[in-house]
Amino acid sequence: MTDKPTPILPPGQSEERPLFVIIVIMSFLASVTMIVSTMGLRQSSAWQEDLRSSATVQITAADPVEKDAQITKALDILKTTPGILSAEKLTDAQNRELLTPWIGSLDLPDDITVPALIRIKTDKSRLNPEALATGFAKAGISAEFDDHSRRAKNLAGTWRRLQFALGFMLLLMIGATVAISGFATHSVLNARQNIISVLGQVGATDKFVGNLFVKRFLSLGFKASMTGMVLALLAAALFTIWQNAATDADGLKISLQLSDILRLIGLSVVLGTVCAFTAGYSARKSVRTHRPAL
Amino acid sequence: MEQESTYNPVIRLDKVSMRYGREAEIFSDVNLALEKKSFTFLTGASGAGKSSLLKLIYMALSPTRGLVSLFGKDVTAMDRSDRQTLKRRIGVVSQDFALIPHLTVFENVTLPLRAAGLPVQKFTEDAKELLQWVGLGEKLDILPPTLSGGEVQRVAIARAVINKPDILIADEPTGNVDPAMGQKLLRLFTEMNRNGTTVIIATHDTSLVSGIDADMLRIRDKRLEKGSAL
Ligand SMILES: Nc1ncnc2c1ncn2[C@@H]1O[C@H](COP(=O)(O)OP(=O)(O)OP(=O)(O)O)[C@@H](O)[C@H]1O
Ligand SMILES: [Mg+2]
Repeated sequence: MTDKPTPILPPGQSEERPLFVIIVIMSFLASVTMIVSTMGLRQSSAWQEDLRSSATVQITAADPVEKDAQITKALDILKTTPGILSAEKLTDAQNRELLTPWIGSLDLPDDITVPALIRIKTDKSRLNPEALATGFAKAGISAEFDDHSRRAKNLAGTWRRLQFALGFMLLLMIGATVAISGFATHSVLNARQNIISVLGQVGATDKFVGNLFVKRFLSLGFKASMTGMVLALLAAALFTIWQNAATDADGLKISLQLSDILRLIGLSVVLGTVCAFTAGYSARKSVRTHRPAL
Repeated sequence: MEQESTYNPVIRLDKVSMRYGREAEIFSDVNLALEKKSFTFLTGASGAGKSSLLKLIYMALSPTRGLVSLFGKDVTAMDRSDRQTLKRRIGVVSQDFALIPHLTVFENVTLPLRAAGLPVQKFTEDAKELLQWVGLGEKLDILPPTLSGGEVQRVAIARAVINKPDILIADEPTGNVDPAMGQKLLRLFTEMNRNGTTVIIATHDTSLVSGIDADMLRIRDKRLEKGSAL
């Protein structure tokens, strides 16, 4: 006798293949979304950290001689201020470099006043910006102190909104998986009316029929969503190689940690499970309407 | 058939009328009461409604009007899931046999066990013995599409009795087998009947009917009448 019983619902290419392909795609998109979201979040916190631990003092005096004097005084004050780890005057060249993104690399005429900037590294916990401002004022320095907190806050806000949008996209993909699984279930039910009615005749319950669909679509759902996830990881690896080879790349790197991989696996499991249980649920629901009234 | 039943019949129809869709009624106000352990043959011309009547009893159809009760319970008023589990007490050989083509003979026969969530392995010997008895001992792993008409019929019969049902309903169960096999299958039914199963068989087969002592019912002019042999 055969040891393993034949599945009551035979696997059928016509419903299974499209379902498989679509879940692979959904899982791929969902995984990419998750990778982008994770990397972006991590990059954004690194940037925020950078921004928070640095600050800029801009000396606003217009007269060049006065300006140089004030810079020297400001540097002296900064050296003795608690919470300032280092302070360094930017050279004109560096200054210009900073401006390049905004005004291009054209050579500025020398007589254009470029604001003098002092870049400082700070230890936020010990720095008291008000005390620093008073110190500057007392010394007659006209300076603007920018601790970058507004930019850090904006960056964080932007990322929060982006995360929300990416989360919403994940939900859409799960929704699409629900829809396609329900659709595939209906086409299996239609194609297998004869089997469903025999099952009814021999006393199978709706739950039994539903479980047949769960069984049938569970491994398919998992296989498809894992495939999509692996493809997404490959895509991430390709992107990294491409980014590393590029000359016009900034620091954005995809580096996944174990916890990221686990979350991706979790996502695939969710998609596989959603596929199987949608199938079970819609099968149970539609046998009620498909079968005769009794 | 109009007698008022003081006993509790296993199968009971009360003023049942049935029609398909908007077509004319096939029966009007049919009453029927079959006792436990009764053995009944149902006859009638082709198209008279034998299969339809049996389907009402095994709950594949619902009546347009009237009551169908099994084991003293009105099945039309029953919960869907209760009705589904009640079907496990009814063995059915339908006129089209309704085997599942991709399951082997053995798997088709044991399907009611699987549907009831019973461990099939426990009943493997019973199933083999039964298949042996209907002459299919060598065909356990064969798929239905390669069986002969008579073999398909016997698989359907084996599936109907594997659960030792309280009610056995068979629609032309011997249409495709030779008289000797027909008699043998009939012995299976009478044997079950002796063990307490209520049996109702729709048939045209006069040789089947003449051999045994059974109640006769006949459908004529949308009515059910007590009949004698064809
Ligand atoms: N699904 C259906 N839809 C519409 N009409 C049907 C359906 N099934 C049967 N009928 C009609 O109902 C009538 C009774 O059919 P039924 O199958 O019950 O007859 P029967 O007595 O079993 O005939 P036979 O001896 O040929 O098997 C027939 O006129 C048939 O055409
Ligand atoms: Mg018939």
